[in-house]
Amino acid sequence: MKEKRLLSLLLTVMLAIAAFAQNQTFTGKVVDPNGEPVIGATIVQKGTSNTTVTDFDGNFSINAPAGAELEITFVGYGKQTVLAGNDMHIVISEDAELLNELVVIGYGVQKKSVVTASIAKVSAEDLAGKTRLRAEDALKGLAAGVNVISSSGQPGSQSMIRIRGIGTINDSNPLYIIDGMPTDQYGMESVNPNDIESIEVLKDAASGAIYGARAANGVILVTTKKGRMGKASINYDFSYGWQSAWRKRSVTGATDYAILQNERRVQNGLSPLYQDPYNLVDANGDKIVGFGTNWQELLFNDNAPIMQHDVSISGASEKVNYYLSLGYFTQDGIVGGNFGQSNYDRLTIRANNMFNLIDATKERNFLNKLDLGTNLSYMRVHSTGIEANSTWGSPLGSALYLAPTLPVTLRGAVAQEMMDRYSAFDLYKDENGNPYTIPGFIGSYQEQNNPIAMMHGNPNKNWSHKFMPKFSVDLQLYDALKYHFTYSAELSFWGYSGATLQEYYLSGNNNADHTSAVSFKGNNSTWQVENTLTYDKTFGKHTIGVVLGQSALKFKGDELGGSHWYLVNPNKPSINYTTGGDLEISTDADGKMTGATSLVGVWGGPYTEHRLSSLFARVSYNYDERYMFQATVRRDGSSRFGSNHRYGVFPSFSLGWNIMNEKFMEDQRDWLNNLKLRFSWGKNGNDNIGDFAYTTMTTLGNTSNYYFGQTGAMVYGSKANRLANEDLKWEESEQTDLGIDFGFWNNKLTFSFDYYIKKTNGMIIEMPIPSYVGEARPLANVGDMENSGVEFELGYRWNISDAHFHLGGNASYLKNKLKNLGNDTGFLNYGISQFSDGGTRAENGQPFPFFYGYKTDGILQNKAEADAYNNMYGTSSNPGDFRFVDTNGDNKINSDDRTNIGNGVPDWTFGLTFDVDWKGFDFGVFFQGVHGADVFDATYRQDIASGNYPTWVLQRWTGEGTSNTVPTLGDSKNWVCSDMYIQDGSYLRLKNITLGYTLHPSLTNKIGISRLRIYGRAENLFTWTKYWGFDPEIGSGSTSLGVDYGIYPQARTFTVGCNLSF
Amino acid sequence: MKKHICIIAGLCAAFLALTACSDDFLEVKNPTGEPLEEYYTTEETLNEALTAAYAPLHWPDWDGTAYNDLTVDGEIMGDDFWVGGSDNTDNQHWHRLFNFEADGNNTLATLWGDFYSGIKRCNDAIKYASWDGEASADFRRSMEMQARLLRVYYYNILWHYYGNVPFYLENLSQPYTAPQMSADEIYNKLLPELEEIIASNVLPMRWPNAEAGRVSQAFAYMLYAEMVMYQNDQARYAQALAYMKQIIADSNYKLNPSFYDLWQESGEWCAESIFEINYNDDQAQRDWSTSMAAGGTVFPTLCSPNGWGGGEGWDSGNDGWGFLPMRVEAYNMYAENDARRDVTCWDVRGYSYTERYLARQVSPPERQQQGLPDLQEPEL
Repeated sequence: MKEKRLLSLLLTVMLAIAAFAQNQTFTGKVVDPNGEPVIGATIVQKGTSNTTVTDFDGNFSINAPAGAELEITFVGYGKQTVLAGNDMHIVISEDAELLNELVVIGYGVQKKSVVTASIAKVSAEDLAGKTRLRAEDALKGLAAGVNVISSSGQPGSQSMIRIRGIGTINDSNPLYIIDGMPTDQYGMESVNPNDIESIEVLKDAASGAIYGARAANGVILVTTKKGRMGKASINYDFSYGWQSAWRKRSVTGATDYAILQNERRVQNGLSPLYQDPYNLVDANGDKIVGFGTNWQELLFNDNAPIMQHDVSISGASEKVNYYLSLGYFTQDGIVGGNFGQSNYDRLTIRANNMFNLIDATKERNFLNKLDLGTNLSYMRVHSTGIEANSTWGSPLGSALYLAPTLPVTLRGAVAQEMMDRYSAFDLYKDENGNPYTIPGFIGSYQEQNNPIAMMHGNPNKNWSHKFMPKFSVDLQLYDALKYHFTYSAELSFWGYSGATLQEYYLSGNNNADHTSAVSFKGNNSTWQVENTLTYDKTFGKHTIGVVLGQSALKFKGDELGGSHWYLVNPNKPSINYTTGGDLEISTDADGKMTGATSLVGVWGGPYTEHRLSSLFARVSYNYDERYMFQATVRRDGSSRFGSNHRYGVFPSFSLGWNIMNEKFMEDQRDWLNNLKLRFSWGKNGNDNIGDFAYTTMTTLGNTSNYYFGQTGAMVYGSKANRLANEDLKWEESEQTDLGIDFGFWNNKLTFSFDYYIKKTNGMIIEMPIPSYVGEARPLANVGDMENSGVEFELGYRWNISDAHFHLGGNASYLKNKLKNLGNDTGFLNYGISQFSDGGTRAENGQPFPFFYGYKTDGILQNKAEADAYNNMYGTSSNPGDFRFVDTNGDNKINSDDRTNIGNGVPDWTFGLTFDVDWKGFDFGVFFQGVHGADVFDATYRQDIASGNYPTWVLQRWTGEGTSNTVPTLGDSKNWVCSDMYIQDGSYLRLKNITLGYTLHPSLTNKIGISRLRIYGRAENLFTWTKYWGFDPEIGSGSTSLGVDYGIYPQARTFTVGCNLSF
Repeated sequence: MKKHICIIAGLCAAFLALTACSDDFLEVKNPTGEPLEEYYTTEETLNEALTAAYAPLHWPDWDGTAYNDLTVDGEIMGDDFWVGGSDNTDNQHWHRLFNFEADGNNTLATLWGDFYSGIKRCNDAIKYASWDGEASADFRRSMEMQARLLRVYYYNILWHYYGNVPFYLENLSQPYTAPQMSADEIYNKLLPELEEIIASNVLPMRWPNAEAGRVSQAFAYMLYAEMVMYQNDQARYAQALAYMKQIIADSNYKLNPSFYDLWQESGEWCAESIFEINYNDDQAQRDWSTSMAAGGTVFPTLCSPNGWGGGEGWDSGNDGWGFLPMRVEAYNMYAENDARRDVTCWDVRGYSYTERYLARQVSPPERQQQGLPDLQEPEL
């Protein structure tokens, strides 16, 4: 409120002053490069709120002092400045802005034309409409070299982001910097994408080096919006969408299921189960018609709503710059969202302000400008979630396994029988009081649960609040020497509350024999103080920029959780409102105590603090914007490093040559306006190495306890936690980048190419020492990983009469190799849940991670082939079994024949955007895809005897010549971890298609609205892929990349919305 | 110009001087651990380290990687028992050993890791016992002797099963290698150590009931006799015999009048018992995924008939896996009226269950990885 009054006061004063100056009415006309009048272009007297708009003929008139600067802007064109005069004729040009574009680099900005490092920039325009929740998701397909893989389609889920490949087997997440504050993906959740001015991705070592020990995996810089000079702009954006699953998995229906079940039993020497697969009756005695129970259909929540409201008010004057916004986002999940099991809603509030306190630049040369900045943001989230990718009883995973012959609920006598069997429990029932079928009661399903019954459970309610304040002071000290101070903080409070409301039974390992309530709260606080001195000056043809800085950061936090059994009232679950005391004593018939159970659970404690203390310096120099040089060095000390290597020094340098600005290129300048060669080299570090890894401390673990005494009483022990390695230090990444940028016809066509090699030295893993040392091996910097690749970026703008077109594309190719794991065996098995003989693996000389298993070569079709195969390899296979490949040529088929059968990291990632706007209509298409990634389809588990089958199993071998890809159902040796499960995960997705219409300004101006745009959008409309699963994009966890356990897919969403500006 | 540069340089220097942080800033405390020298100074904490040295005793039956119950390991190379299981890939390493077909991938591999962990913990306990602190000299002496005796026992197992193993009496540091010694050399290192422990007379002949489970002087005597006989060290036979006579004469030990009672829960730590490895399923922390925690044992499940539902004292739902079935020939070696036969052998021919089972230990509450049995299919 106070600000508004101050603003009004300032405006009044300025207007009054303006009125005293000599004002005249000036007229002019604005046309585009083709001579056509521009309607609705804005003309502003610079530094004032005096504005006007061109009419249908492109004419305007404005009341201003003679010679005042007038700025002309129009959407899609660069800003132009002219001096007020009579009969102005202005031709707008699209490229003015592009040529002077600024790029944010760490601790400063740089003109794009002199950037020597490899930085990808995504502007607010590019971001618009691409993402609602997480800004980093918008980088998918927009920035070359950045691979964004969704982990699932669950509302609120984080994507996995890798910049230029997976750098290490440990933590490969990039560093996120929001307005100078370092944070992680949880911090990114608090930034409303609408509030973002630009995102710069620092891909190479030279650009990241200024962040030293945390930049080995790349840096993502986020800059939030500021106000624009001129009158206050008020924006309101609204959208509402309907989400549905874009594909359901093809599984067998009741008849096919029965046929396959019988076949498998017979092959295993048992009698068939279903007398007549064509006339089936379910457990309730009802006849099964057609498909039977379609579990996926029942589970997916079609047309789940997703809605967003955003309001922002911003403006600026010479003294004040403000940007205020409020955002509200809510999303129901397409699985479980209608039951409150998978929902997300977020509120964000932001206030970015800049105040100019002293401006004495005209009077003196020292201490002449003082600006104070405050950026404050607040986020609050409420969410619930389900298990998104698991074959051990997740809702979607279970839906794939439950037989179509199972009814959703049981009725009558069979229902009573089930309830009697589980009389100790209180089963989930539907609204008619019928209990939901427990799969294990009818067949053998291991841990699979009835997914509809699961929807009736009580989900944990997650909540979180985050405050990110930032205070900065900019003081111009002397000449071009500036001092900049910032204090930023991140305060997070989060937790969940949950309760088991009834003694439910879903399956053998998902049941409860008592009610309980649990509650957990955690909080973190991180503060950072930074002092920087900058000096930017141009002396003739020399331009020099120097940054000297110091930074200190401290993180601390703690958590507390508690639980208690036996709720008094399931409608009011809380820890205090429980009964039973703290201990439950059990006695036998004679009253003798036989045991005790604790009813209370409690845990908590502080997190280990993390502190960072750094000094950094950067020098940028260019001569005549032709020869550029930049060097950076940063020295970081971290509390995670032992005293042997407390401080790390990370240097880098980069060189650039603007060939375009050379005299000998003068003739080419009409068609070639940019030709720049870049080279960079540098070292960055990764300090996410765990705390206290360099020393030994005591640990109380349960491997130290033993029973003593005749009655066996537990005695608690302790021991040294590990062997120490005092020389442990950060993982270091060394990267070399070579790039070339082209610009044709005033940047109408731009093209850019980069080649890079990134080596990670000293990857941390256990030392390769013998196991007879008797203790967990010490960690050491012994591994090496290499990533190399090329990146291409292309942009093309053109006009046809008054339609403006823009085409943008990027493609990256990545090659990853784990050169040396560094441990004693040279490999590490990560496994895939249900396979004991293969899975994902890390191995010397292979890409990381890769799929490891047997290779198959068709199926043995007849006895002759089977005999030949058995004679050769000493196996005992029958026709219908796989022919496994003897990869090591030792004439034996055994575990040594396992090999690299694929990997989940794509070779190529690419994106393509196409935008058109014409007479108020705007149309945009965005494609994104990958090529060369494999998916491991781990959704079919052989060990679930009554489980349903994916339809590809119908192609199993049933006689000679019937199949060469799917073996017989019976024998388990065919279903080992092999390339049978590897599918091509390459895909091309029409990620975004939007059609919008902006009402003509002259219509809307009458009601005070300067811009009204309505639009319709479809997201994930089509996905072209060979993979038959729910989604080819599976980014959960860096070692199970590409493993599909029944992944919760991304939704196809149809949205309508509007953008209003006042 | 020069004035500019001087002023700027001066400001930069002042800047750096004022804003840098001291080294102390980077020191943080570990919220859940202490530096070793500061912690192991009282009797209570030293006892914790000693307990950690005892813990590996109970790991072999299931340590998260393989089943290597010492009873089974001790029998499969003999001919009184079959290996059992569902087929010859079920606990393949036992089958391979039984058929003299073992290779590098199929041995009692986990015993190696389990007992070297024990040796490392014993070495640590001996080291901590030697530090100054508040603990009494008697306590520290007793702790040292217990740890040294346990260490002899751990090496004994490795010596039996592997023969020529790496040997060290002080924990390793860079480059973490130890010399491999031949079985005889190891014997010649272990026996003097054992003799020294016995000669010190620090350990009691038998611990009071509340401390049952700790290694005692009688245990040392038994270990001595066992090793001496295994090695055929005739020079020490007389001494071993003397130790055995000492045990017989000692008032703490006598035969249990009922052979049957030895194998009941009430018979645990009876007068006949010299040493037992404690398992318990009350207060148990042990589970399939936390196999090294203290808790029950999987041995009764291993050697019960396949599919047996469990008897009195078992948690519901556990069934047997059919390992280590006794050979009929071994059963027939007992005389008809031998009281030990029916206590030792559970005759399940004809499926007539008797309740007199080897209920020496109570089994852990095992979590079933499988769901309920299929109603329509009998278990194979």
